[in-house]
Amino acid sequence: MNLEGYSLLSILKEIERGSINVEDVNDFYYKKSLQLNDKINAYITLLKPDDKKINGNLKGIALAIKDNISTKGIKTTCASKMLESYVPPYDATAVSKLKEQGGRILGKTNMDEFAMGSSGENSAFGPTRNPLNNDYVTGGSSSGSAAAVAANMAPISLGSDTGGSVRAPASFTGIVGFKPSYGAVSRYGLIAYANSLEVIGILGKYTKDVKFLFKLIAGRDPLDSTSLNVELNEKEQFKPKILVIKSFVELSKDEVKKEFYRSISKIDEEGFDVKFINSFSLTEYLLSAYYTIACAEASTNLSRYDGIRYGPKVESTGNWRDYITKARSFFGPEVKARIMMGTFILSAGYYETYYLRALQLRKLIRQEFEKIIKGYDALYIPTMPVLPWRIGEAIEDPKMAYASDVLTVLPNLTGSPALSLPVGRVREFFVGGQLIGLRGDDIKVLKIAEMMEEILKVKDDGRN
Amino acid sequence: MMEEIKVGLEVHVQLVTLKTKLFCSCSSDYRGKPPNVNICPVCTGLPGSMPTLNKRAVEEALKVVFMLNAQPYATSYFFRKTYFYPDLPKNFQITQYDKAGGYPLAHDGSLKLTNGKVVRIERIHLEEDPGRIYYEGSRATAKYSLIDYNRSGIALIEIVTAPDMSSAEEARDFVERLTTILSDVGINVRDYEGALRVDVNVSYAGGERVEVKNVTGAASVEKAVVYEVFRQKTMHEKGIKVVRETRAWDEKRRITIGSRGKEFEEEYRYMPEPDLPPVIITEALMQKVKDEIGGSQEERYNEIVNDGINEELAKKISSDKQLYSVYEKVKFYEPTLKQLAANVLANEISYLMKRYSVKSLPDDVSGLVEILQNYKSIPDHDTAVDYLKKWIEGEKVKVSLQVTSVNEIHDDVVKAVAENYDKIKNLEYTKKFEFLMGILIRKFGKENKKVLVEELTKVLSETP
Amino acid sequence: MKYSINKLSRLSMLKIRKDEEKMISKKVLAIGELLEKLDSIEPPKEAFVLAPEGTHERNDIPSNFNSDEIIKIFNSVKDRYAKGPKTL
Repeated sequence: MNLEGYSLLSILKEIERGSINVEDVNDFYYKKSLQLNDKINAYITLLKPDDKKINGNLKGIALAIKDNISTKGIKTTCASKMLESYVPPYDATAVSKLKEQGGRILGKTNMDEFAMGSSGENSAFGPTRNPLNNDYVTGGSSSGSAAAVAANMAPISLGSDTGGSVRAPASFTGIVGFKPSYGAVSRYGLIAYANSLEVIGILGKYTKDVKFLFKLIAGRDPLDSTSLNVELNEKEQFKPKILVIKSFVELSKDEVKKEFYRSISKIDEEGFDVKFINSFSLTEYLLSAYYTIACAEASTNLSRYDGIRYGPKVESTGNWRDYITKARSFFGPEVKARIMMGTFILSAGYYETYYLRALQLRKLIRQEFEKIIKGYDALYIPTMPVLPWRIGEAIEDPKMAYASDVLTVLPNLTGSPALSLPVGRVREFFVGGQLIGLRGDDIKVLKIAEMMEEILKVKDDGRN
Repeated sequence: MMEEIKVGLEVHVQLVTLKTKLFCSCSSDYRGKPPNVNICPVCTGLPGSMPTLNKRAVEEALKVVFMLNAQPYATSYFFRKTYFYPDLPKNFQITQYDKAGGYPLAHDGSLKLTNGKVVRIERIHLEEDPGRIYYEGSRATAKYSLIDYNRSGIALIEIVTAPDMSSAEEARDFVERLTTILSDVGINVRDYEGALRVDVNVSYAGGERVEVKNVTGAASVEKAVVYEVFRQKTMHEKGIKVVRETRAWDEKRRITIGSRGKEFEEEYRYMPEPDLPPVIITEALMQKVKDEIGGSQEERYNEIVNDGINEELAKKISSDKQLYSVYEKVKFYEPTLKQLAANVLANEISYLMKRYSVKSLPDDVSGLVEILQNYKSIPDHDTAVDYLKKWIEGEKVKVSLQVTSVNEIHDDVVKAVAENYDKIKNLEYTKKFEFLMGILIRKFGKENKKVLVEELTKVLSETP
Repeated sequence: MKYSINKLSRLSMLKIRKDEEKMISKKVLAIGELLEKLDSIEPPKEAFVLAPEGTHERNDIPSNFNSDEIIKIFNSVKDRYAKGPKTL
């Protein structure tokens, strides 16, 4: 059986009809994973699906889960030596919900260590290679989740998005990546990097699959006090009013720009109401606000890794400070750098200088965003300013990796839903276009993406 | 000339009335249980766990706020206080902070000491307890520590005073008065080991303030102040500058011990807790809490006034559950004693409880009833207080009647002489006297020897 | 050097190996550049907290997590205690 290019929904329909059975479906993806994982390195843990009968909307289908999402009894490493052998005794709420609906876990996917990174190269277990061209990066930090879907190693996957970590790899691998509104999906069980910025997201080949899975995991969770219910009902058809911020587009390389503008012409032809504004007034501060807040929160979130309850076993010689410091040496360099800068930001004398200013910025950015989006259904900008770079190319220049986040951090700062879908092609790669809505407008953003998909037919395999 | 002593206290009180911990649903009943039974991913700081606030903790804390005449802030926040230590699973404590835009639960309360001085309470806030570290055998030779997380996450209320106390006695009195106030709202810290711990801040003659951490109990607080004042005074007299530091309290040796040194300056890098929404205190909530405190107290008050007791006594007794409970029992035993009981409870017994740090009044009131029944016959106030003290301390009480006038005993003396005339008529005077005194003392008690001697001498001289 | 790797690593309880020092310094400086951009932002007049939205709804009702599952993952256990480093 060859399920390449099949949507999850069509597979479920076929299972319902009885024309295929779920064991064969799971077997297809599992075998594909065995075949390709040595090269692509999408999975840290791959599990052979069992053949127990499971009911529910997901009918027993096995999915890929990013390795910073807790799965009971299954190693959850965050792609770090620090958690190399950590096995959570509980499931993240999103995972429980999937299991309740009949989902299985196919494997835990590779990522940038502790979700810190935009290329997929910051993993302690080797980089994930882009299925479109194995010498190039996949994007991060949900690199494995994106590669698995793009390479037909999983029908759909869960990721997490703190500053673009679902959308960037989706864009680089030519699939759909959805970051829900902040709080729309419970973070309980998501191993924290930056609490006020992140949310669990979904990566799939088609928007309708992503929308389907989103509805299964969304909803207020009593275990997560920041979670809330967003509207999941779909309203009638509408003609989307789209706003394009030119200055954002101008930040992109020419090849990205060209494809992006071409997509605008197409959707404009098909009845979308597209308007342009020149700039977003606080663009030059977006990365500063993001990295300040993210590093500060990360430094406290990662304090718990001290080797005492879990983590690497350390010799109990010397005093307790030495013990803890030794255990914490198992972090990778990117993680260490961000922890130290977070410590710096929160230190006495610097809190007002950096952290408070970043909060102030965040408030202003939210206000500015709400002002400009008024009267529109969504913003539309490219997802990444560049195409994927070669693996190893950015190692000597960390600034390059940080700068690639410039178009994706805005929705994390505002708590908005944001989706990346392939809107154009350049050689073997795709150009990702990004839709950003008002917080709570998740279904609206998903609907607009579905319409765009239909119009653009970038990945027209005919098997949708 | 007495140099100025300034004492300020930071009292940590476990909210023992709660059934669960502050940020998770683990049972808070851990005393006498095996280690690590009341634990979950939240209170052991497992990756991916998130805190959820116990609503009831806010209500219980507000009871203390009102009893201490403090003002709640309508909005208060939780903060992360970062420091590394093996008993702190996340290596940060979730607490409340009053700077950097933070607000604690309440501010500006007061507590009146027995001597009439009013101690200002600067702030009151909620925070979580860390776990506990144990050692096998001697700490000095142990190779490792043993950590129990049962206590980790237990709800604490922290009460911070201004440095208004000027003596060890006042510090002790504060803790005793506070303990009583806490039990008035059901928070019976006396019944729970380690439920009230004090950090004692002492400065002498305007010098640096020294903090003595983790002192348990009013008596120890007094001893700690005594020692610390002595230590600082000695240094002052020698011309040695007192260093601002944190010291530990050695209960056995009754001294304070300096910690290792100031190389590791504790810097807490406070940051708002991003997983917890603010605590909102509404008018409705305040009223609900006031009703809970007041209602029962009001009922008791009305009942006592209905018994015919005057308002001031009624107020005193109704506000203390112990006094009230004894009052009720005595009233049940012997209704005619209720007025006297009310008087004695509100005055002498209250005073004795404070003076001798009595934890709780005896369940058995028969001794008290005996005292009250014979109260009029007790010769002086000091003797009465002695009897009451005996009863409070749980000793058996037998009231001997003091003969107040010879008329009471004259007939008995005459009768004793007459009844024993045959036995004594041939004895010489001294032996006769001893014999009769023996009988009379058995009847009237040793306390009455003087008046018996007087009367017997008189009667014998009138007898042929 | 504004960002002292020595001081920050000590405060963060991290050890920086010789072979990663150069790389980490580069990253620290790159993040530092982003921080410095904040200098041109007007600081707020008063410190404030940007708290998350949400409500507190948990009631005081105990629920039991299977503690044995957690003890199972502890690195080192003795008589149900987690074994840790010695504190002075």
